[in-house]
Amino acid sequence: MGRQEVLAELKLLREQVAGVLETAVASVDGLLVAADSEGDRPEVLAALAAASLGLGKRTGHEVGMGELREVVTRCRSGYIVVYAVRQAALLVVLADEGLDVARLHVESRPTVERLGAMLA
Amino acid sequence: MEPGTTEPGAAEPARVEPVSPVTGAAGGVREPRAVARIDEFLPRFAREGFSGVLRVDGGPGGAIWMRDGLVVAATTPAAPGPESLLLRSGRISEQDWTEAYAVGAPADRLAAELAGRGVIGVAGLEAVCLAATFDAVFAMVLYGIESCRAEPAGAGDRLPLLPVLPGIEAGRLLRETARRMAYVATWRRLGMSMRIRPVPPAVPASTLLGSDRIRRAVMERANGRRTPRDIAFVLGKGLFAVMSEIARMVEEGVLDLGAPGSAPGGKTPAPEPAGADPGGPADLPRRRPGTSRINEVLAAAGGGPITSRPLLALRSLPRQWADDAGPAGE
Repeated sequence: MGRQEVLAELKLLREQVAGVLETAVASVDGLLVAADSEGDRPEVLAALAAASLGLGKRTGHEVGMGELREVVTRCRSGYIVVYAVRQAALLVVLADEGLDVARLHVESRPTVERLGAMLA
Repeated sequence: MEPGTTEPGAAEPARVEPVSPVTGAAGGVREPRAVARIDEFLPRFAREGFSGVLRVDGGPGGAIWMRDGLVVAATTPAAPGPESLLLRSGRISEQDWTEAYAVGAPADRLAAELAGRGVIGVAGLEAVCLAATFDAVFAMVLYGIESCRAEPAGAGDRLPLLPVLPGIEAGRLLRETARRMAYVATWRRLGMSMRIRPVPPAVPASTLLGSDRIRRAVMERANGRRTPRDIAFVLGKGLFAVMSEIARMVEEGVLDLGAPGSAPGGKTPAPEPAGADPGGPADLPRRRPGTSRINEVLAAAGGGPITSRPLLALRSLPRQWADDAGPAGE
């Protein structure tokens, strides 16, 4: 895996989907791999994304709704979406409120697949 | 259905030129597959007196709501809607919005509720909704329309929260869109497109001093990562207004176009020391306690170390990294 390759995937996703502002890839225990970010602390985002992914999985399991698809958090001025990348990593996407969430889910599938292959 | 029938507004069909294929974008950006002409399909639905929603596929596409042949709303990820225009610009406070929404939205009377609270005038609110609709249609055309499919209104269908009632005539909407696209055509010589990510020049131009607020606001948000659309959302201003301002500033040399498709700002953490911890998935970094600085954040927020806190308490974190796109405060 090259970090530049991962970063190139992240930039591509931002350019493909209107509304995507920042993205980061992290391990499931919250360690940052790479971030296409303008924020100062992508490490903190990575850690929180890992926590929310774990919480989403646990909650889904607890209420018997099956496999987690993604975790979507909606705030006043945007969305935080966390996707699992295979078993050991995650992709977190920050987007403004203009985002078409359904479209992001579709457009991010190939990204998640390629990231999974890179990180395997 | 012959062109040039006598319906008001459709009498003079405006020519809306489709956008040329996107230039300067990095590989992988989806090009419009086929171009559906809004100046053909919209007058047709208007003449039919269509009620329902037109689902538009395209760059990001969007939706156009019609009632009895008039356009009552349009939404797209490419341009800020009324809510963004009202809240991001600071015109309506979050609290007023939340209260009006709670009471008004379930009964489909958000506009009346906002106006009734005195937070915005009826005319002011209508102007914002009208501007958002014009801007959304312009944005869909600018980004390219591939196809359009109509879903007739059914029982229980709801309009967007802040529609323009009774609606806008298709002809008027298309004439304004054509006018805006004509401006876009004149900006091409500047290298302007919706894909640019402008930056201030290395040597700041002194002519910015004393200039008006929207210029300064655009300048402050132009960081080489944001497209005009992104800046429009941050400021709660229309896409066309922001693009016009950027074009003027580029022409005057107080703003650079930025490098298309190569956005700076990517960060990678320092490489892990080799052989630090064998085992586990290859190439993923290993956790070392303290490196995320999460405990510093929690301590700064008045909490203890993460190990002694339930996860739900994380919501007390300050919003420091998630976005710098709060209300423009203007």
